[in-house]
Parts: sequence; structure tokens; C-alpha cells
Amino acid sequence: MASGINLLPREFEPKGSILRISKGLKTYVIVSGIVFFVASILAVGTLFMLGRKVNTDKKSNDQLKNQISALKETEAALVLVQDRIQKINSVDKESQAKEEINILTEIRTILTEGVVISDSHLKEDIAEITLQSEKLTDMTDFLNIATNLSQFKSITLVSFEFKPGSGYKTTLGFIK
Amino acid sequence: MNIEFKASFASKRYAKLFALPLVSAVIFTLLALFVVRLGYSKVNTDLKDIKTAKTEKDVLSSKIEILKKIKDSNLIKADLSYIALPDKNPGVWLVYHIRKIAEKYGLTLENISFSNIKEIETTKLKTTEVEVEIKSTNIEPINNFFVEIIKVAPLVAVKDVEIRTQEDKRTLNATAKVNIYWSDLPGKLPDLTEPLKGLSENELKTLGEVSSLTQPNFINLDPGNTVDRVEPFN
Repeated sequence: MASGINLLPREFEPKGSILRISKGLKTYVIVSGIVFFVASILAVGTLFMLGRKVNTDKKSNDQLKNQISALKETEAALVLVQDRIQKINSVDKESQAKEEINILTEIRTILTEGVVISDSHLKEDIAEITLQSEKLTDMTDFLNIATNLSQFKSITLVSFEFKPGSGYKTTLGFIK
Repeated sequence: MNIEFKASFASKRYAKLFALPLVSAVIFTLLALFVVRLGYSKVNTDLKDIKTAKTEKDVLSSKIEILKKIKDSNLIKADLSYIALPDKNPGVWLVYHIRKIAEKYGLTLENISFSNIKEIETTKLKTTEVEVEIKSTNIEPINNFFVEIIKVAPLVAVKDVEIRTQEDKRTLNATAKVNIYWSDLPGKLPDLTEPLKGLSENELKTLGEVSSLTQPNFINLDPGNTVDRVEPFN
């Protein structure tokens, strides 16, 4: 049995090629509609999940920030200490006569009999120590010991004098 | 007449065939473009936010870990480092140390004077020069005085020491130029999300050295009670 009777004259019927284009267009619309629908659902789902993740991360970070706020005093102390240490180190780098003061202590400990320290000039780079003795042998004994010390980079004879009234006077420059 | 009727009928028929699919195709295409553009930018923003949040979380977690570790330990010696390098001229503390050490070694304190306050350009530290003059009949206490002076807090830098035997051949006179330092405190805490560094080995070493310095026995000088004086010029 026929499904329907076409009462339209044949000349009014659309051409086969036009019908094919129309059919293709319909298929395209249906397929793209389905793809669009599915893609939209997926996109909305993804956006929802991402949004949730962003919110969870933000909340978690806010909690961490609160914890840091509770440790503010410790942080302030740490920042202060680090700032002070950095500046203390720069003071330590300043040239000073710290080493030269220690040189004077070392020379005092090796002083031989009859030799005394009469003057000293402790500068930032050299310790000039003036020694006095009545006898030349006392002075040479000391010089023997001092010149054999290995902790000094250099020992310079700055001056040497003799006065019948006061004896021998030697100024040595010690550099460490 | 027949031809006109035919043409009009065909165009209506084609319009019926193409109109709905074409309009739908155009709408879907436009909608798809709109959704893709919107979705892409939203996804991009969210991904960027997640990445930022992750970085922030790492920074915050490490910061908390460092702070908790420091809080639980006894590493922070803020007061000691502050006394070593305060924010105000620590001259009074130095005078205290000079007097105390001079007394300890039986030295006569001849003079203490402060001069030439200046700011070091490179480090922004403020400094003043202190001239100290002491007297003794022996070099040992003078030497010990300077050995101790370089180990006090606030930090000092002994620049020059001159020890001379006086004309009486018995008395030794020592004049020293000493610098003391101070510096402004840090003005603000770093931003919450800024990474924090714990104390390095070198910093701990410096802190150890600072804590071994001799501290003054007072931090603040509190004003005493005022007394009405009948004759203020005498």
C-alpha cells in the first residue's frame, strides 16, 4: 500500500540535487545540535568542577593565611633578626684594629726578660709596637723569638735607636 | 502567467526546504562560537587561578613550616641582635661598658667624647666616633681593656689605639677611636604571600657570635622622680 499520494505536478517538484543539499543541511544541523548540546554539558560540568576547585583552594589558602597571622610575632622577630644580622655583617666588614689588639696581647705573652713595651700604635692594618731594653742582648733575644713566629704575615723594623740614658728602643710593625 | 506562477511556487518551496535548516545552522554556529569563546576564557582564568593558588599554597605552607620551626626552637634572639645593633644611638650602653671595664682593671678614665655622627652611604648605618682616654701604670690592664671592649654589645669597631709612655716614665696613656653603630628597624613585614627564608648557617653563626657579646645590664633608662630645687643654678 502506498504511503501517500503526491498530487503535485512533477514540474513543481524540487530537483534531486537541491533535495540532497537540503537533506545534508538538515543532517548537519541535527549533528551539530547534538554535538553542541553534549559539548555544552561537558563545558558546564568542567567549569563547575574548576570553579569548585578554585573556591576550595582559596578557602584553604585563607586558612593558611590565618595561621600565618597567628605567627606574626615570630615573623616580625625573624625579619628583625635577619635585618640586624645583615647589618651586623656589614659592620664586621668595616676595617678595624681588632686583630691588632690581639697582636699586642700575643707580643705581651712572648716578652723576654728585660724588654718592655713602651708605646704602641694599633691601626686598622698594622700594629706598631715599640719595645725598650737596657741591654742589646735582651732586645736581640726578643727579636729572635718574634721573627720566628709563624702567625704574622710580616714583621717590619720601623725604627731602631739607642740612647745611652734609656737604652735600646725598637719599633716593629706586625701584620697578620 | 503560468511561468510566473511556476517561479513563485518554486521559490516558496525552496525557501521552505532551506529556511529552517539554514537558520538553525546559523544559530548553532553563532551559539557555538559564543560558548567556545566564553568557555575558553573562563577555563583559562580558572586554570590560571588554580595555578596561582597552588603556588601561593606552597609558599604559605613553607612559610608556616619555617615560622613554626623557629617558634618551637630557641633560634630567634631578637633582643640580643637588637642590643648589638639598636635603632638609636647606643652611646649610653658603650659608656656603661667603658666605665665598668675600666673599673674592673683599675684604669683611670680620663675622657670619653662623642663626635661626628654620620650615615654610611652604602649600608645606611648611622655611626658616631667615640674617643676614649685611659691611664694606667701597666700595659696589661690597658691591653685587657681593649680586648674586652671589642667583645661588647652594642657593636663597636676600634679604629685606632695609641699607647704612649708619659714623661714620668711610669704612666701609660692610651687614646682610642671607637665607632658605634645603629640603624632604623625594618618598617613593615613582607607580604603574606611573599616567600620567607629561614635563618641560614651563616646567619646562625653570626647570631651565635652576637649572643656571646657582653650585654649592658640595662636596656632603657627610665626617668627618675623630679625634685623641686630652690636654687637651680647652684
